[in-house]
Amino acid sequence: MTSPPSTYHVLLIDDDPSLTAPLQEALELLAGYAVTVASDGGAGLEALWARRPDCVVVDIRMPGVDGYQLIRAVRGDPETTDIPLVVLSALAQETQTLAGFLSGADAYLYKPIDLDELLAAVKQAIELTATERQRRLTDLTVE
Amino acid sequence: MNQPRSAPRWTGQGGQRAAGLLKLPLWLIWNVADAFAGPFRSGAASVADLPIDQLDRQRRRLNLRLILTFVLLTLLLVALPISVARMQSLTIIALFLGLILFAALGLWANHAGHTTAAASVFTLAVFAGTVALAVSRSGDSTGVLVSYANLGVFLLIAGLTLPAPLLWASALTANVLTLGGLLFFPFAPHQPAGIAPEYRGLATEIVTFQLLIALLAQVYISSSRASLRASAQAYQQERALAALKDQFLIDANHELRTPVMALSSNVQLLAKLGERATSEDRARLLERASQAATRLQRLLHNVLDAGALESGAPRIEPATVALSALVHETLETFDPVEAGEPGLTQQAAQARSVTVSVPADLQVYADPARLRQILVNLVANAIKYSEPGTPLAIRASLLDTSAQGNLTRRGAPAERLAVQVSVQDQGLGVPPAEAQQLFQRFVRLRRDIAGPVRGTGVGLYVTRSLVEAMGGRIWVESAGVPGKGSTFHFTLPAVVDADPFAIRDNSQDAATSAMSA
Repeated sequence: MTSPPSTYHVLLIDDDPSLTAPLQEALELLAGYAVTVASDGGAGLEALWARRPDCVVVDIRMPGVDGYQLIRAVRGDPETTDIPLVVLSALAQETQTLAGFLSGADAYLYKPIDLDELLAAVKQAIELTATERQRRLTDLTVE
Repeated sequence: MNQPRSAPRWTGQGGQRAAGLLKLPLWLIWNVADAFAGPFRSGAASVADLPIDQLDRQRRRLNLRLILTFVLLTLLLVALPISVARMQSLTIIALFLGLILFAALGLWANHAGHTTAAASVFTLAVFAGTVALAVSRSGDSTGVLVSYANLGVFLLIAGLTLPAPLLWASALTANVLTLGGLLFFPFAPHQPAGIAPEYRGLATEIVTFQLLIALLAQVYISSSRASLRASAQAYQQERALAALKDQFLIDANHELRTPVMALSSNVQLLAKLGERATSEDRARLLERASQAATRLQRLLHNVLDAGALESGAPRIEPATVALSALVHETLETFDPVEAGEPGLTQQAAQARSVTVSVPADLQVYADPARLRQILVNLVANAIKYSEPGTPLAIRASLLDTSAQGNLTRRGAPAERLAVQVSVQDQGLGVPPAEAQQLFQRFVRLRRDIAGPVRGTGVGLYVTRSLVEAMGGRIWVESAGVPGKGSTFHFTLPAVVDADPFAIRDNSQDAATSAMSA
């Protein structure tokens, strides 16, 4: 198992500790990222403002500030608008998928998902340049 | 079915004139057929969508359409030709023409939605016609009697087409006309002597007959309204249950995905770390995986049981169970941080204090696996709906149900003893208004549906069914104030030794574990 050369910072936001624990370890041990865990949207936003992450992995259904609100807050703020976002949710309805995309997530993953897929999505989101992301989001909005 | 279907259209290019000639009779035949079929069409779709008042109006409209069409056809095709052929008096012919006009106007008004007005005008017209007919028959006492008796038929029509108050107004009008015509005869100025005295006695019978007809019409309408309301209610309930089921599928879906992912993530991580994982890593990952599996198992139990309960009561294999041991055993299946554990010092700040207060030799007659499931559900709920670190308490005591008659279930011997088990938390509580529905299938608190707390709405339903299948009862006590929490109580049949002092002499085994910092 080889770690990437530079250490990216990933912010993991999910209210379920039974899930954040293995995911944090997977992101740290398998991909070599530095991981911060926040247990709800509010804490997530604070962590995000305190230290800009290279990627945010966020759940949708959470107490307080939920995933959608968090995505809108991140995308609405010029300071944070280009931070890559990966949604990891158990809400598998199409409308919600669409809403997730339109509100600015880079990837939308359904639980349960293999660790490999999650790591790949995070890696891709980090490596996607800001312009590419902007173009993709615009295309989606126009459609 | 709200609007009558439009008549067929003829759009052929050639033969337009022939089509034009055909149009009117076809339109007439179609309308007549439609009018006759109207009241007999099944209204199942409308029961679902319209309020009862509107359905009632629609029913009256269709009835009036049928009746007026029938009257119009009879007058036009039978009564008028016959009276012309027999060269009856002009009065009669004028009367028929007048009725034809009223029927046609009534049909038009009814079509425009003025059912009550059309039916009222039509009723008044036939009443006036009847009196006119009776007056024209002066001298023919039998004819006069028949005319007034006929008002009963028109009252039936009024009952089918008018709202109840107007039906009774019509009935009283008919009574007054009948009594006036037969006894006092103010409507027959040509015949001051009135009708033959031997027929006058029949006036009361005709009046009674009219009132009876009005009453029957009213009874028929009320009962059809009631059955309409009943089927509409049944439909609404069915629809509400279907909506709950849909929500359940979404929730269950959501609920299953998270523990499945937790389980697979831990196992995959373990596999991927391979040799790199220390024995501590392995123990930790396996422990987390097994907790996720336990959570999944509990969820599956409830979801599958809820499905199985649809086809009858759960299968119970009762035995004598030592309650205290079973409670402690059950608590051990919970995450020690969540449910507290003696000597857990590292995470003491987050750990709950769990007070177990169950007499050591308290025994119940229950299915041990089912009883464990009941406790798991109640404790899991207590944990789910309260802040981490807040205390929980599980208590049990022997109840004399013969002293508290309300706890005796039907069929159970009154002298049987019961054990009451209570699970108390200091969480969000249950709004008293929703406390009853909480134990129904798929029902979740409105607060939880809107909020982030996860659930499927079957846990307490399964719990209640299990408790009841074992001869017990379950209820919740809560002020509905967050922080004040709730207490879920359930009863089970007690097993008592022959010596009645055996239980009461024993001291309680009260253990307080994992005190929070």
